[in-house]
Order: sequence, then C-alpha cells, then structure tokens
Amino acid sequence: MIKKIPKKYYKFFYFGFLCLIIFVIGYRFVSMLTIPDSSFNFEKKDTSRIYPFFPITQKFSASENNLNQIKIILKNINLQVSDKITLELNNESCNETIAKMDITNTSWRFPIFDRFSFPAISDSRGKTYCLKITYFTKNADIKKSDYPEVSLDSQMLFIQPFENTRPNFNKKASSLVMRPAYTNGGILANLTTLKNRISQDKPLFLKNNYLVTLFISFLTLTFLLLLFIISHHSNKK
Amino acid sequence: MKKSIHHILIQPYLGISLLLLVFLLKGFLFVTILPIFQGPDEPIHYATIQYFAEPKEKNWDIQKIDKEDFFPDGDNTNTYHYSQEIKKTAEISQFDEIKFHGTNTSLFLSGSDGAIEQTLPQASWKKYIDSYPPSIVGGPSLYYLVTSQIEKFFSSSDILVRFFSIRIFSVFLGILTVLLAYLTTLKAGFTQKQALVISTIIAFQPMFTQTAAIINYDIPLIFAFSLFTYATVALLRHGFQWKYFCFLFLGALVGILVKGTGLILPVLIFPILIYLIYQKTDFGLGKKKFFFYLSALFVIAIAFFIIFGPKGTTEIFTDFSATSNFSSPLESLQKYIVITAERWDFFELTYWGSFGWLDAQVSDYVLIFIWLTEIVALAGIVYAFFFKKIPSSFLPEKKYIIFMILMLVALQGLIRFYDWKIFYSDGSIIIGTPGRYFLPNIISHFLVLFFGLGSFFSKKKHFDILLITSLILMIGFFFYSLFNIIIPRYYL
Repeated sequence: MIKKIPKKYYKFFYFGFLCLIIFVIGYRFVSMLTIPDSSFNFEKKDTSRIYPFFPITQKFSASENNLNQIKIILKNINLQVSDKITLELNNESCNETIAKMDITNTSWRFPIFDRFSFPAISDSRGKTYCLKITYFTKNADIKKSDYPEVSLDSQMLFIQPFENTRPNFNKKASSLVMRPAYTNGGILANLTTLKNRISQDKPLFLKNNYLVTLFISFLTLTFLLLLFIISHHSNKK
Repeated sequence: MKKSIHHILIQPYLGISLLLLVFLLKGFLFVTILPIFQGPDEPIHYATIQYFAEPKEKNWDIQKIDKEDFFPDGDNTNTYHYSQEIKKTAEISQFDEIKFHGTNTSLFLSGSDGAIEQTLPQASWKKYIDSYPPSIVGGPSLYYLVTSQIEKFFSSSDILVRFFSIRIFSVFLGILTVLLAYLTTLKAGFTQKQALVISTIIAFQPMFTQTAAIINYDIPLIFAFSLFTYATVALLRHGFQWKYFCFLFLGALVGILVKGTGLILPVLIFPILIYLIYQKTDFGLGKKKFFFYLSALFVIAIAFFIIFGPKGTTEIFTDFSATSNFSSPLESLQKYIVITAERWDFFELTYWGSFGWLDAQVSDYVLIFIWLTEIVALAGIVYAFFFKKIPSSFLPEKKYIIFMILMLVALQGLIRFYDWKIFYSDGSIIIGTPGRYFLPNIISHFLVLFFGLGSFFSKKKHFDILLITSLILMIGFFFYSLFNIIIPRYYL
C-alpha cells in the first residue's frame, strides 16, 4: 500500500490526520466553553448511591441569564448496554421537563465533571430549577456497589439540600457537587470571558491583548512548523 | 519565486529556530495559564527564592520556635513560615481551596483584573520571613541563587511581576533543553530532518512543557542531565575532546548544585571515562583485566565519594541507623517493590499528564495507548540487541542506546533507592516518586523509545512515516492537555 502512494502525497494524509485530531479536540473544547458560576467551592466530599428508578433531585437558583450547562460529578459509572442515567432540568416544582440528556455506556464523558448541556435559557437569572437524576437498568441482579453515585458536598450550597427518593434515605443537609454554567451569547463572547478569566491576577505583560497575541502567534507558528516539517519530509530529496 | 521559497525552506537552521520560537511562545502561554502557586510545590520554592533575596543583615524582628515544635499543616498555607506577602497572596488566590481539588477554581471577578490585583494597591505586605525555622527547601542552592537575582532585580514591582518573571526564567532553561535534544539527536546519528522531528516531539511533551513554565528546581536539573547526555553522546562519537569533556563536567556540576538527584551525574562520569580510555588503549592488560581493574577503581571512587562527599546528600546512602517498623531491610525492600509495582499507573500518569497539584489528569485511554507504545518499543530494543542480525542504518549505534539506558536505569535506581530508604524508616511511601522526577532523562527516554520502535523497520522511509505520525500524535496530545484538560480545570 505504502509503495503505491507517491511520497509527495504523504503530506495530504498527515494533514488529514492532523485536522481530524484538531477537530475532535476543538469540538470537545467548544462543548466545555461555558462560563461556570465560580462563587463557591466544594469542601468535604461524600457520595450517595443512585438507586435504580429512584431519582435524586437538587434545586438551585440561577445567578445569571443564559443558563446552558450544569457541571456535575457522577461516579462509579459501569453502565450495561441497555442502562442509562437520565439528567433532567425541570421547573421549580420538579414536574415539568425543560431539558433532558441521557448518559449511556457509549457516551463520551468529560474530565472531572460530567456536563449536561442544553439550549440557553435567556431569562434564567433568579429563577429556581430542579435537577433530576435517574438511573435506569434492566439488570435485576445488579449489586448495590455497582450503582452509580453522585458526589456530595457537606455544605448547603444551594437553596435546599439535595434529595434522594430511595427508601430509608436519611436526609442530610448537603448539596450535589454541581456548578451551573452560562453562555455569554456565542463562542466569541465566551472566549472573551475566558480571556478575561485567564488574565486575572497576571502581570500586565501576560494579560489581555498580550495574551491573545501570544495565543494566536503560538497557534500560527506551530502550524507553520508542522507545515515545514511535513513538507520537508515529503520531499524526495 | 518557487525556487527562493524552497531555498529558504532548506536552510539548516530554519527548522530548529522555528521550533525554539514556538517553544518560547508555548512556554509563555503555560506560564500564564497556570494560576499563581498552582505548579507543584511552587509556594515553598518561591519562598526559598525570597529567602535568598533577603538582605544579609536581617534588621527585623524574628520569632523563633524549635524545629521539633514546628509542624506546618499541608492544607493551610498560613501555618508555614513564609513571608507575609506569600501567605496573603495565597489566601486571596484561594490557593488552599484549589490545590489538589480538581472541582475548585478561583473566584473570578467581572473584567480582567482579579482579586489579587485589586488588593495590591493598598497592600504593604512584608516580603521577608519573620518566623523561624523558615519554610524553605534545603540542599543544593544554585537555582535559588540565580533566581533570587530576578527577585531582587524586580524588587520594586509587585509579586505578580516577580513571580511570573521567575517562571519565565524556567522557559529559557526549557529552550536550552530543546536545543540540546536537537544536537544530541544529531550527534547520535539521526538525520537533520529526523532530529528536528524528535526534538519537536520532546518539546511538546505536556509535562515537560509544564515543568519548563513553573518555579521549581526540576527544570535546571533537566537542563543539567540534557547537557550531560549531549556531551557524552558527542564524546562517544568523536572520542575524547576537551570541549565535550568540559560540557560533561559542567552538566554534572550544575546537576549536583541544583538538586540531590544530580548526584548521579558525577558518578556516571567514571564509566564514560573508562570507555573512552579503553577506546585509546588497554595498557597492555587485555580486555578482561582492563575492565576488572577499572571496575575496582570505579567502586573505590564511589566509596570515596560517599565517605568524603558533601554531607546531607551522601548520608542518605550510608545512614542506616534510623529505626524501622520492618524486621530487616530485605523485608521492607520486598514490600516496597510490591507497592511500587501497584503504583505504576500513578508513575505513568504523573510523567505524561497530571498537571498542577496532580489534580488535572489526562484520560486513562491516552495512558493505555502510551503504555502499549512503550511495550512495543521495549520489545524492539530486545529485538535489536539480541535477534536482529543487520542493524538499521538509519538508527543510532547501539553504544549510544546502551549509554542512554544506563542513564535511565541510574536515575530510576537513585530515586527509588531514596524513596525506599524513607519507606524503610517511616513504613509508608512519603516521596512517592511522581513521574516528573524522571523528566531529566527525557532526551534519553525518547531516543531509546524511537530506537526500539524503529528497529522493527528495515527502510528509512517507513521509519520517517512513524516519526511524523508520532509528531502529529504528540502535538495532538499537547493540544488535548491544554484545551481539554488544563483550561477547563482552572477556568471553565
């Protein structure tokens, strides 16, 4: 196969391969490009099992408009083919679904937090929402130790403690480890906010426009370096 | 026109110059992206730099407590004997909340000025340590002597300017390391094109990039090992030349003056010298007697060094007086080996992609891929040394690879011996040998890796395809680490 392809065409394969990698990384990055609420951090963490068909709920109040993502920590996820975890964003009463997402055994998950994305809610500021997490399985023999878990924080971070509807659950005044995130309207606006966040607590020569210039120069020159190397290697001489 | 562009493209120094420029920009970017103090151990390293920058005459009140009564709490920076400036900055930047907690970030304000910047105009924090014993790094001090000059030079500027300027100093040491990677690869026998690809792959290794962008004495140690490796490869290639011997000596000297681990470098000078002497003459002794006498001399030299060498660095090898929970060193060694084998994942993870205070980690799938590649490379090395009859003309001679494997084994042996010594006395893993401790051998590691992988190919053009594919994968790995792991961890 390799013998049949002239060397001068190798560069097209290399660039195709590179573009594929960059596309995947870029797509993942854009999926995470929301502006999370940073007004609180998590302290002591605990976990709570999600029993099959017994939802866990957490009510929270949005601090900004354009709520479009919830970052949440789900653990011990060993889903079988027909299993799923459903994340629902509901109204304050928890009875009307605004957005929904399923996590299955083929879902591509994100580092640290899972990210529940949905179309931005333009008038979310000050409104209360209810996050509902339900585990569905057809496996009747599944052990408790294999149930998925949510991560909990011992503080009361939201307007009410989280609730687990499973039988004999001892209610505790703790919250889900989750963070509401917002969009500023589009990728460019979110990138601007990201630039501002990175610029904070940095010296003048590393922030704002210098930072943007640094980023663009680095990306451009890296591409040129790759172009140089690949073109060089694809030459016959 | 086409000819003149082609002429520019074939300039021998264009590729490496472009790479060094890219590394500089990449370093600046990493310097900026990691929040203040979020590089591993940065507060204590910066505190040590401030301590070295203090005036000799300490005309301020110093509160002293006994060393035995001083137990700083790892979760509370305020309990350390740092300067007031470091403690306040750490507090405002929520350092204790963020380190080791992948779920936590700074409190971001609207706009591009952060909480520290808003506090600085009113702040008049002390820049010196007024509680003793000071919380600083002991041992060799060359790195702190040099970086304290930067601290002094910018003494009238705020902590952000001083701190990030010292981080930038690490970037320049990283650039020198990449240059040495290029030169070493060339000296080892790779072509100019291959050397550029391999040094670019090394330059984009994400953990190396991080180490070359934070305040830590690992980066000067990486530079020292790289200089030593380059000099040795040159000596092996050209025979004894004073120029390269001076580089070798300088590498070893810088190594022992920046970190205890550098101690291995002067020891390694002996077998290199023995080999170089043997290339010239065996003094009429014959091969066996020559190596017997010189090996004996080598052992005596090491014993001499351990007995009369600088205390504090050599006593770790000689002092077995500490009490232990184990019935014998052998029992502790057996247990240590079992624990170390179980922690191999941690070692791999922290060598390739565990950023900040080990709280921003790459995916296990990436590590599995790297691990499989390393196993294939290992098989290739075995194949090349024991089964392959005709060596590949496009790969380095075996003598270079033997030396590099010696470097890898020596550093592993030294660090793990030190780790085990503490395990022997304390009964638990304290040091933990994170993978970044092994970054000083990054050049040797990658050259051995590509030698192993390349040994399966008989044609250079196939090996070149492997190199370019590896380059694309490494750059992809870097961008993945930056855009999918580090930036989301601290800012999104």
